Amino acid sequence: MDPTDEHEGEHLDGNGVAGILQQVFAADFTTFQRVCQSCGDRNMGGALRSYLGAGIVLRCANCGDVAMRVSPRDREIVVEMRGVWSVAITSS
Amino acid sequence: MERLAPRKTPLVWRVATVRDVRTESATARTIVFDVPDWPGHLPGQHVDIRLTAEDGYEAQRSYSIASPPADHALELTVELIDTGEVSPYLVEELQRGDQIELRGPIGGYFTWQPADGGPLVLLAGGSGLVPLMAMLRHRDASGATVPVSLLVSARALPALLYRDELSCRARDGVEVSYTLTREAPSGWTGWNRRVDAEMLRAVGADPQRRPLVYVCGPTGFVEHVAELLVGLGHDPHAIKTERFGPSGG
Repeated sequence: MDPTDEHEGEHLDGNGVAGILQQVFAADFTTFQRVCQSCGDRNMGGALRSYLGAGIVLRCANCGDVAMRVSPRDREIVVEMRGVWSVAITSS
Repeated sequence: MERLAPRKTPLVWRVATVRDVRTESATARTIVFDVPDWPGHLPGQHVDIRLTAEDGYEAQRSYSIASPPADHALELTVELIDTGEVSPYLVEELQRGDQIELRGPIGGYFTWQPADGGPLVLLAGGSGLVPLMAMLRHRDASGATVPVSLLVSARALPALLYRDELSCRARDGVEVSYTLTREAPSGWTGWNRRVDAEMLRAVGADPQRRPLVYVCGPTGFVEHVAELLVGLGHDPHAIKTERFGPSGG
């Protein structure tokens, strides 16, 4: 387990980090569907557990495996995504 | 019934002006904002607020929207966190006419609209009531008749939000129940303990009714209640949850 992950205490969820992730994806991340690479659980971005430290780590609400790591740097945000993510495309 | 999708508007910081402030409890108040070009929101969504100090230091927090979409102003109810960086300013200092940066609306997961149907079971821990209040206000404003059962858990009576308004709304299919987890005044007719399975059944959170369940509160509250709901036989995916942390404010 990444030692930077959980030292900040109890988790929140994907809703609380939706603002910063909306900057990344230019879409509402809380409604993205994800299938976990570890346990196969299907859930929405808003339901993931979030851990805030130097960056953001999102974990599967069912098994706890890493779903996404977000590392804000000076002029960029580095995102690592795991599992199968699907994003609804709606005509605007 | 048409289901509205959140509008696809770029998330930009806007300068909002305080139109009014209202005291809600000893430690919470509602701030009414005029927001230029506000794109509209769905009940349950939140905004980010950013404070910038003179030396450039920034602090950013998320707050749920309390007002229904039909209102012309945007209302946030903010609970004071003594050790917080943002809430003391919002609850104790911000005055009518002041300006502040906010962006939103954010988050389409923890939302409800009449086309989603019901019955609704809304479970609030402390100021987790705020986004659920937006749902209840929207239900009434839109003329929806979806049955709603709201359970509010708070430490003590002075911490309860919107009590007068809720007593007015508790009719025509809306039931409101309370539990106080610490001290209860004499003559208190609500519950006086942590939320438990019996309480959840009493407020209609029986999985056989197939309710839409929304849980919002501090992480400990949400985890506890979600576990009880799964124990009652609910599919974990049918329970929508939103957590906030003690360090948040």
